[in-house]
Parts: sequence; structure tokens; C-alpha cells
Amino acid sequence: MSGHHFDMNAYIEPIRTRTVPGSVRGAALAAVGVGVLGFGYGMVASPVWAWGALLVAIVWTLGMAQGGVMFSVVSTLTWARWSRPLKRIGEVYAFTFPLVWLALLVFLVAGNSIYPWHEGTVIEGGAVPLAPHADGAWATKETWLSLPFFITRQLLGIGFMMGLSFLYVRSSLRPDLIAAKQRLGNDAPAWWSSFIGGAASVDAEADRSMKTQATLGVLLAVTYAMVMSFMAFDLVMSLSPWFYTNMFGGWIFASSFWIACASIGIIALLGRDWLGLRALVKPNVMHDLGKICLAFCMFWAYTTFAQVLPIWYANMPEETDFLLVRMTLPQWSWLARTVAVMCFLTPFTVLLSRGIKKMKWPFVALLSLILTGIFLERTLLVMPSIWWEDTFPWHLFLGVSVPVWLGAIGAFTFVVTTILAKVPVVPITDEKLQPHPWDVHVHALDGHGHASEGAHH
Amino acid sequence: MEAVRPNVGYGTANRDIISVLHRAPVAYLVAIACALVLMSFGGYAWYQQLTWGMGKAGTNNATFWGTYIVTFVFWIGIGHAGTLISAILFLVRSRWRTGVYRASEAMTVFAVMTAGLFPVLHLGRAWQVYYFFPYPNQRELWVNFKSPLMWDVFAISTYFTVSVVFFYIGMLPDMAVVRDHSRGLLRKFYDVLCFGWRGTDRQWRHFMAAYGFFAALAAPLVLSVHSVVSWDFAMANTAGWHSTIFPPYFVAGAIFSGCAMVITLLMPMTMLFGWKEYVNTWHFENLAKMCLLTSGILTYAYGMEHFIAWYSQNPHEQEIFMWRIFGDYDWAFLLMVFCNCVAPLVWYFPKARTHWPTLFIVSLIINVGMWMERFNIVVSSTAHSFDPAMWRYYWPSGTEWGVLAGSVGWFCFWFLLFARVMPSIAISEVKEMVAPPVKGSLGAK
Repeated sequence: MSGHHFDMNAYIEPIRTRTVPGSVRGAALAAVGVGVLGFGYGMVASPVWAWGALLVAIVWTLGMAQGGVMFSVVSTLTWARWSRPLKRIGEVYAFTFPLVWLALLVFLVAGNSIYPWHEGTVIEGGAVPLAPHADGAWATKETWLSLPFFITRQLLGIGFMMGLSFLYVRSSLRPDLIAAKQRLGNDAPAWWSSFIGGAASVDAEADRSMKTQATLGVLLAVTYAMVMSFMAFDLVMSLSPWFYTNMFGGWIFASSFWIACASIGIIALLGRDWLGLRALVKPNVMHDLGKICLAFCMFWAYTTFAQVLPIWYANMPEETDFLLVRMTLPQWSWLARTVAVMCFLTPFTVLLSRGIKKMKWPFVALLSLILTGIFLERTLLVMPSIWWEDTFPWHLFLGVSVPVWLGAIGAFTFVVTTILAKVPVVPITDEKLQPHPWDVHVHALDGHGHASEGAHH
Repeated sequence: MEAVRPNVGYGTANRDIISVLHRAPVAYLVAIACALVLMSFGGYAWYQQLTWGMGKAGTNNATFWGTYIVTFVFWIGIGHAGTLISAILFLVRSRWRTGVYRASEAMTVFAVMTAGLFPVLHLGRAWQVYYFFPYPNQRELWVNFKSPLMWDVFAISTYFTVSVVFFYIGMLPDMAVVRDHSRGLLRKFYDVLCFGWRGTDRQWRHFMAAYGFFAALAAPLVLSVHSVVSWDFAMANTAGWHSTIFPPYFVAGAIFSGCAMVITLLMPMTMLFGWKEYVNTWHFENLAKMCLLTSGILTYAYGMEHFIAWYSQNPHEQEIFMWRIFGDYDWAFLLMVFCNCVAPLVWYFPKARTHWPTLFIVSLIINVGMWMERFNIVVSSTAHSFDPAMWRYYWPSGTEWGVLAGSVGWFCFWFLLFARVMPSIAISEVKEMVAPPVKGSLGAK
């Protein structure tokens, strides 16, 4: 440990009395209500759009929730110190998994008719024949896109990723909860005991936790890449059964990580006082988070361009169709342009500024713009594949898509804030929460003739 | 392992790092001689090709791009790790870059110089190389700006320019140290090279601003150059080449091979020049971790390419990817997978990635694997294209092997020469890491 003095109890004591502010809880529940109403309206007005809107919300929320855990995983595997104060926020996202998985289950069982390759599809024009167009090709889609296999692999794959994530989060929480329980006694929430089990020693558990996190982190990184890729190929790309781009999976999981970073920033900034994070989440931490967001903004643009350019250049019908619909048809092209502005032009331009990353409200606004931009991007990927009208249905977008998305945000906020209120909000037993020993500057003479140390941030 | 701080004083750091500039170990002279021998092989092979024409190369009507393009992409890839380590790791404040970034930057510059030879070598009429560049002319003939090969010219020349400037700026304070330890004409020589650096506050302020600026400028170029190189292939409708994942996959591969090459080059140099205090297991372990990460990305990309080819129901895509595994070049595919996906896995074990012989051997395997990867991409898709009547087996000719050997010699020659002329470890940054010379410490001795 360095000479930096860290008061662990400052992050334990508030747990006794901390509750989610009524306004936040009320707004979150109201948003859930709006989402349910929106989905209900959609089922009456256009079931195809309603299921599409639910799919968009699932893909967006799943990506953000899993991305939050991956934020913690990346911090662990890279030994990063700057991100440690934000690590726990990302980990708490894992508590939303049961809801997300249930929503996915409902969608896959009841909403699968929006897939055009499905015999019982409700998409205009009927089911798309999956037999190969060319002689000599293997008929692979009939196998890959058979409904039972499709549903089973998605539920199992995503369920496995969530389960592994939960084990990882549990191992990260354990030593902190043990330390907190020793201080809080009976004031500790009862559900902690299922995490703590029979463990007793904080130091031993902290050591074990770091090793477990490192092992599970590597497994999770591989699982995240694979499961999220196949989620993207299956749930989104297969809505246009003849379209394929092998970048699609990586593109989706990278942007999922991006929105997780953005949402962690929003929670850390808006909840800084409520969670008592002011001492650790200083402007330089937000500056670093802003740089990560800028890097992922550029990566999003890069991977988007990496798909658009070869497809445009090669001009092959099975590929260009997907782009032409979204980029040239008037009912969708405005959305494509909006996505470009919200996901690249604006964040890229604004995040070049150092100052904006350290200003609370402008930075929150920009991070919210990124979250909204990716919601619109997912909408642009899903809806043109299932909605063939030649006008954009504003009433469905505003009456169904936006409310369902808000409902997902509401449910997510409700769960995350409820858990955050009752756990140590930073990894208090993690030694990398402290500054690097090399950053603790030794001053030969401190004015009194004594050697002294000072934490340098 | 945890970070290791050099246990030396400021003066010792100066002397240790500069000492190689004043004396050449015998092993160094042997290495230079080997590089010259390889270069002469390459020179002779090229002379043969210039004299007898492109028929001396093993390329044929189907496989019109052989090992020249394979090796070109290989060296461009090697040229990525330097800028990654110096610029990107600088921006993310990674400490372990300090010991290795100067040599990595040098590797970048010389690797790009080596890669730059290949478009010329591939021309046949090498004297008409200026046709590559858009220059005003009476016939109003212009290069084809829509060709990815033309994008290469701009991307690589931009990358080379920025890398050289970034490399040079970073060396200014260290060249001043060399000047201060030199006498006579040599002192004047280094004084000119370091622009009369005196280490004033004003100079440091400008230096830090320029360094940060060039780091930020160079970072996106790491992505752009190899992306553009990947588009040489991905823009074509050729089966096995037209792939949207190519840009990030090529960039990851470039970083993978570049980091492995840094291990390959720096480990013998460290032992030869006695730099263990400055370049040690901590640095090599981190390079190995970078290789592990990028190996994972490559494995993912290989898998996705094959899966999407299978999923696509495009008969040509399905055919070429199966042919790569089971066709005439199955050995190339298997070698690629072994070297790039399987062998690096040994580094998951901390003992293996902190054991120098294992580090060195696996880094060599990766170098071979990354050359094989490019061979696998370039050769298989052209040798087994759409028309079965055009299917041909390609095997590099003696001339092509000679040129490949010559490129290795050319690269090693410049790199070794650099090690004797400039400090290969960043002296000023090493001093930021060592404990301050307060009373009682090593630095006060």
C-alpha cells in the first residue's frame, strides 16, 4: 500500500441509510409504465413494429448491461487504476440480467414471427425461401436458421454469458461485502449473506478475488466476443437473411461497450453526491472516461466505414441492398444521417475538447446523446428489414419505439440504483483503487526537514 | 509481474545506454556481416529479375501477386508496433513502454522503408516508379485515384512521414546527451542533429507539446495504414478477399507481428549490450500480453471469416474457405493457425511469458505465422479463383526467395546501424522512472 490514506469506512457507513431518491425511483417506475403502455399500443397498432421495438430495446440494454461488466473486466485485466472508482457501477449492471433474459425469452417465443426466414412470418411478402440461389452452394441457412436451434442457442448462449458475468461480479463483490459486513453487523442487507457464504477473512478473500477475477475475466472476454457476435448475427443481421458482413458481430459488441462507458459516466456524474464518489471520481477520471468514449466513437466510425466502403465499392447485390434501403430511401435516409451526426460527428467534435470532459452537465448531455445515437442506430438496423411501407411511421416510432426504449431505461435504472444504494460503490478492498506507488511523489524536504509523501493525481 | 524500476542513477543511465555507441561487440559485427550477406543475395536476385524480366519470379497468370506482396504486407505489419508502443501507449500512460519504445520506433521506420521496396521490386521496369505519383504532365495522365493501390501510396507515405518526425522529435533530448558525451567532430554532428538542444524550460515545454501532438496524430495512422493495405484485397470481388472484417483484422495482425518482432529484436540486443536494467522481463511480459490479445482477435477474425463464408451460401466463398483448409495450400493454413492461434496460447501461463527462451522462440514462431497468414490470403485466393481453367499452383522462385532474404538483410542492416549511432533506449524517459538522486540513494553516488 502506498502512503495514500484511504478511508474504507467512508464507503461503508452510508450503506446503513442510503436509499434511492424518491424522484429517481418514481421516474424509473413511470418510464417502465410508459414502456408497457407503448408496447401495448404497438401490439394494437402494428405488432410487427412493436416486436421490432422490443428487439431494439433488448439489443441496446443487453449490450449496455454486459458492456458494464466488461468495463470491470477490462479494468481488471489491464491493471488500470484510473477506472477503479467506476468499476463497481459497471458490475452492478449484472443485476439487470434476469430482466433482460426474460424479455429475450418473451421476444424469442412470442415475437419470432418478425423474422422473414420463419415460415410463420408476419412480414409483408411472406417467408423468404432460404434455399441457395446458386448451384453448388451448400444449403446452410435452412439448418442455421431453424427456429428451435435459433431460440435454443440464443437463450443458452446469452444465459451462459450472463451466468459467467454474475460469477465474476460475485467474486469482485465478496471481499468488499465481507469488509462492510464486519463494520455494519446486522445493518448489512440480508441478501449479502448469499454472496459472502462462509468466507471470513477480508485479506484472504481479497487475494482470492483478484485471482478469480483475472481467470473469469479472460473467459468472459472470449465469451463476450463470441456470444455478442452471434447475438448480432442472429437477432439483427438475420432479419435480412441474404445480407452478410463478417464485421457485424464485432461492430455491435464494440458499440455495446461504448454505451456502457457512456452510461457509467452518466451515473457517476449524476450520482456523485448521492453515492459519495466526489473524493474518488475527480475531473481527471471523467477526463479519462471521455477519452475512452472518444476512442470508441472513432472506432465506431472506423468499423462502420470499414463495412460501408467495401460493400459500396464491390457493389454486389446481396450486400448493397442492405445499405441502399437505409441510405437512399427517403423514409430511412434521414435516420442514417441522424445516426452519423449523433454517433460520430457531434461526439467526435465535442470530445476533442479537454474542458468538456470535466464539466458535469455538458458531459452528461453528450454521453446521453451517444446513448440515444446508438438506440437510433439499432433502430436503423432492425426496422427497415421488417417495415416495408414507403413512409416513416412517426406515430409508431414516437408511440412505440421511444416509449419501449424509455421503459428499458427505467427498468435498468430502477435495478441499478436499488443495488448501488446497498453495496460499497467502489471496490474498497482492491489495492488498485489506490494510486500507483510511482505516482506518490517523495519530497526530500517538506519544509520541516522531514521526508514526506504526497499522492499525486 | 509488477513494474520494475531501473535501479541506477542518472549518470549511470547515460553511460550504460550510450556505451554501445563507442564500442562494438564482436557479435554485433557478425550480425552486421550477416545482414550484408543477405542483402547481397537480394541484390543479386533483383539484378537477375531486372536483366531477364518478371519471368524470373514464380508468379503466373492466376497468382499474379506472389511473395512480393506477401512480404510487402508483412513488413508494413511489422511497422505497426513501433507507433502503437510509442504513441498509443504514451497516450494511455502505460509505463512499460519506456524501455522498449525507441527501438520499436526504429523498427517501424526501417520496416516501412523495407516494405516500400516491394512495389518497386514488383514493377519489373523499376525505373518507372514515378508513375505511382500524381505529377503534372503534358499528356494529362493521372493515377487512378479509385484504386486501393493508389490509396496505399498516400497512406504509407503519410505514415512514414509522421513516424519519422515523431521518432526524430522523441530523440532530441537524448541526442543532446550523446553530444555531451562526445568530442570533436562527433560532438558537432550530434549538436546539429539535436538542433542545439539545451534542455531549457522553454525547450521542454515545446518538446512536450509537440510530442503529445504527434502522438495524437500518429495514433489514428496506426489504424489507417493497415486498413488501407487490407482494402487492396477487400475492395476486390475475389472470393476470400472481399471481407468487411479485413481492416481491424489486418491492424490486429500487424500489432501482433510487430510486438513479436520487438521481442525478437530486443531480447538479443539487451543481452548483447547489457541493458537488462532498462529492458527486462516486465517489458517482454507486457509485449507477450499484447500478442495474446491480438492473437485472440486474429483467431476471432479467422473464425468469423469461415463462419460467414459458410453462412453466406455464396458458392465461391464456401469453396475458397474450404480449399484453404483442405486444398493444395492446406499446409500454409495449418501453419498459420498453429503459429498465430495455438503457439501464443502458451503465454497464458505466467511462467512461459516470463521465461526468456520461451518468449524468444514463440516470438519467432509468430513472425513465421504472420508471413504465412499473408501467403494464405494472397496466394490461395488467386490460385483458386472463379474459373477452374485458371487454377494454378504457385510456388516462389529462387529469385523471390532471394529478394525475401534480401529484405530481411536490408531491415536488419539499418536497425543494427541505428543501434550504433543513436541511443536505442529513451534516456530522458528512463530518468523519469528511476528514483530521484537524493542523499543516500544510488543517484547520489
